[in-house]
Amino acid sequence: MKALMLSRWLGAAALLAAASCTQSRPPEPVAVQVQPEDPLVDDAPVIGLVEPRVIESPIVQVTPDPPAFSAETETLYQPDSTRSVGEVRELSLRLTIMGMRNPAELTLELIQPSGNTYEARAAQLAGDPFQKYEAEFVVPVAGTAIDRANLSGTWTARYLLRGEVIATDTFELLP
Amino acid sequence: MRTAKIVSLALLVSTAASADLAITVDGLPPDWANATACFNETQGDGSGNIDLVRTCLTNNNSAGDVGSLYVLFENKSASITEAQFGVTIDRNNDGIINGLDEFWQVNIPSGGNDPQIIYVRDPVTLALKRQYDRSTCGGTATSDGWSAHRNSSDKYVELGIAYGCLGLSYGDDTRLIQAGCNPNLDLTYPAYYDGDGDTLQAAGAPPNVTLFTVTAQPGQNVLTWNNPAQHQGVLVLRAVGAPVSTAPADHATYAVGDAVGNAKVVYLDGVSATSTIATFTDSGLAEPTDSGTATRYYYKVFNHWQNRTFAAGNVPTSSGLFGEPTRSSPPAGWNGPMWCYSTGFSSFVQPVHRAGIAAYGAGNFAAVTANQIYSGLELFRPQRLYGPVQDRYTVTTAAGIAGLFTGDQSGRVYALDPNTGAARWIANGGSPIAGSIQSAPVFQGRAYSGAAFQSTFSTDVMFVASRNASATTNRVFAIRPDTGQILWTGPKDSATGALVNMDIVSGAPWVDYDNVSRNRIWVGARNNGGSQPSLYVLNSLNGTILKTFSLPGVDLPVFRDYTLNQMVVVDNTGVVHGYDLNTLNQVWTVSIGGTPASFPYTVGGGFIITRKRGADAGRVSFYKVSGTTVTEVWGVTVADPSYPVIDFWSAQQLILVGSSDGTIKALNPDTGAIVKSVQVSSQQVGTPGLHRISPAPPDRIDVQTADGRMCAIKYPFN
Repeated sequence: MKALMLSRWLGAAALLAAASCTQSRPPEPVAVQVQPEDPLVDDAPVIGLVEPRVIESPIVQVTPDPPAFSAETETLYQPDSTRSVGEVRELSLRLTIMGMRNPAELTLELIQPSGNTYEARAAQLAGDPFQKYEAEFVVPVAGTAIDRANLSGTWTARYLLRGEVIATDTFELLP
Repeated sequence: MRTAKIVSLALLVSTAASADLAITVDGLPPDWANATACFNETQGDGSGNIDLVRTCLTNNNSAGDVGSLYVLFENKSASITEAQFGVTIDRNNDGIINGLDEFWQVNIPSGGNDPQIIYVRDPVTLALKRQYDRSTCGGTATSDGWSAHRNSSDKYVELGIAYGCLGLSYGDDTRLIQAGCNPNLDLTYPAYYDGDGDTLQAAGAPPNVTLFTVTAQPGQNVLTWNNPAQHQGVLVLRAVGAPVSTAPADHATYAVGDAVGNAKVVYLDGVSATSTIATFTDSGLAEPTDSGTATRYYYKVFNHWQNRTFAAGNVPTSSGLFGEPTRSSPPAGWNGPMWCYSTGFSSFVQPVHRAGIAAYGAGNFAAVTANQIYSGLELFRPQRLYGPVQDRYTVTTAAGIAGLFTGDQSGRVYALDPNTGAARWIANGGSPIAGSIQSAPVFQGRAYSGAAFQSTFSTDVMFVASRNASATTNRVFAIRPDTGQILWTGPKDSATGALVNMDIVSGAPWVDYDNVSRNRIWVGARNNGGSQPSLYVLNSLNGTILKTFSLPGVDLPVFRDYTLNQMVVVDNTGVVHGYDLNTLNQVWTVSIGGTPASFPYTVGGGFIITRKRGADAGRVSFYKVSGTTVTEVWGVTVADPSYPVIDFWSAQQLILVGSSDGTIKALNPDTGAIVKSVQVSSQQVGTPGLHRISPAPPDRIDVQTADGRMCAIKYPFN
């Protein structure tokens, strides 16, 4: 009888599955899709269902192995010439993730200079380690509550994946 | 002595129970055609000769332990040679696979199809615990035996093991399971197999509860939430002085009172059976002191399933929610909140009321909420909208429909049932009509309009304007209040009827109409860098432009002065303009000396207006208009003032303004003197909403806060 070589039946499962994978797929850009449930008949699992925009961009993948997990943030002002709450039309809060291993909900928490939470939004990501995900959350500023209540100062964009903070970014809005 | 064997030595044959399959352990797959509990196997994850592409489970157990668990292993190709197949079961059902559990495994012999021994091993060390020949597997008197077979094509292996051997029985056969084969170690992912329902769920944290809210009442906090489908129960943690810092550990056993990080368990359910409870009242809590110091209790609700596998608990955000119990027997002079309702997101929008029934708060919660006027408890569970609402709901009856009318930042327009929050309609079939709607809808009543309007429209009409990202594509929409049908879209060129460019609209328009011939909508907008008008007068019958004005941009609502018969508009530089409603000509202007924080609240021959922080911390002023002369009667410093609200009904009329110091200021309308400052929060508060049951004067104020609450304060103040 062949000797059993099972090392750890459960604990090593994920590791073994990844290590034994010999497929080499060309990476493809992934559209971040939010699937809001019918919000008026069923409670949706996320707050803030304003759909994130989709940014598609290719990944240059030179090895068959999935990239290590990484998350990068970027904040863009529209227009870029001003930081005033009365002049910035909108903010684009962007997060790029690579190396996701499992499907997960990405959440953005937008924190005011006072420390209070202004808004939260979410997007469901498929979690393919060979894909690059670029989520863009667009936040209107001029003429909104940010402008009217004069919420100027240093804001924080906090990104969470499965409830864990994976990245934070700060940005300034002036009176 | 065993009296019955459920499993034959050669072929184990099952009889299907409920939704289970009738399985014959013959190594042939046709009886698995309708399997419902199969692992979604990742293709190509095996190595060597074996790549499992389908692994399914079923059973024929319907009572007690009489029955068996069956497993089908399907290889990608007909290449199964000597190999070991098996299944690991969380035998003690503690959610963890460890040495206390069992790995049941058979060897497919070289040159044969029928294993003769089944091995039971430690799933971690693989140490042999025991083994059985074909006569038994150590089961009970009513359930014992096993069978396994590889078919001649070398593609399929079936394994059946009596429930009695596995320690399973009906109603107690949901277990963490993993299946696979050796030597190539192609394993399934861990999953929970529910033998009663014959379902399979990947093991992992469930989603969070949703729509978590806290209502602070005298001496207690009432927590309410919605349970998701993947749910067995919840655990509620409470901390004092800081948000809950630590999540409960998966599979750990907790009891009320146990410490978890900086918090304590105050509620737990769903431990032994699924709970549908979705509210918890945390009572016996500290009330505010006589000086008004309140105790802040922070909460997080952790959904759990699969042997107390917990969700992250970040509802509505990673900070959770807090509640400060109010005073049950307030001392003399008490002005503290009677109740507060926490949703977790800042809002400064003025609450609106249905007298004696409910207060409706709008904001970034992206849900419509309603609180009973006197208790603060929810009139209905929050109903999700698609985006934040940053202007007050319009609560009215229009076209025979009593509703809350609003737009949101997703660009949708709604009519909501004020009793339930359910949508009566969403315009445009539920799709956005614009990039965003920032301002409240306004209405023209058909019964009070002239013949032209009545012949054009069969109902009242509501109007909303867009705040798109673009500086040119914004629109004004006329909508039927009873159906959501879009009647026209403007602004249109009066000569050609073509749509013209328009910048963002952030403030509510004003419909100026009468029962003769006036049908006009005044709309303030930005001016796209000076290239477009910023104040439009549109024909409410068709959206064509009657007149435009080039101002430096108008973000705030326009307001009519009935005494002066003028429309009063403040532009974004702080210059207030008065326009004659008959001639549409500008009559006067005045600068308030800074950036406006509110629209000009007209009071008949004058207006109250607030100003942003700039030269001072903020200002509330009263201006008097006389002909073309406008003079400031008084002005007083108030830090970051909200829109002003005027109590016209009480014996002592007051102007009420929210401030960034967390207070509501009450001002004497004649002098501007601050006669009362009532602390609501330590954070900025928004525009107060007066509640009154006509003809009585107001009896309370509801106001929203930067720290994510709506609070009710007794009025008149003590």
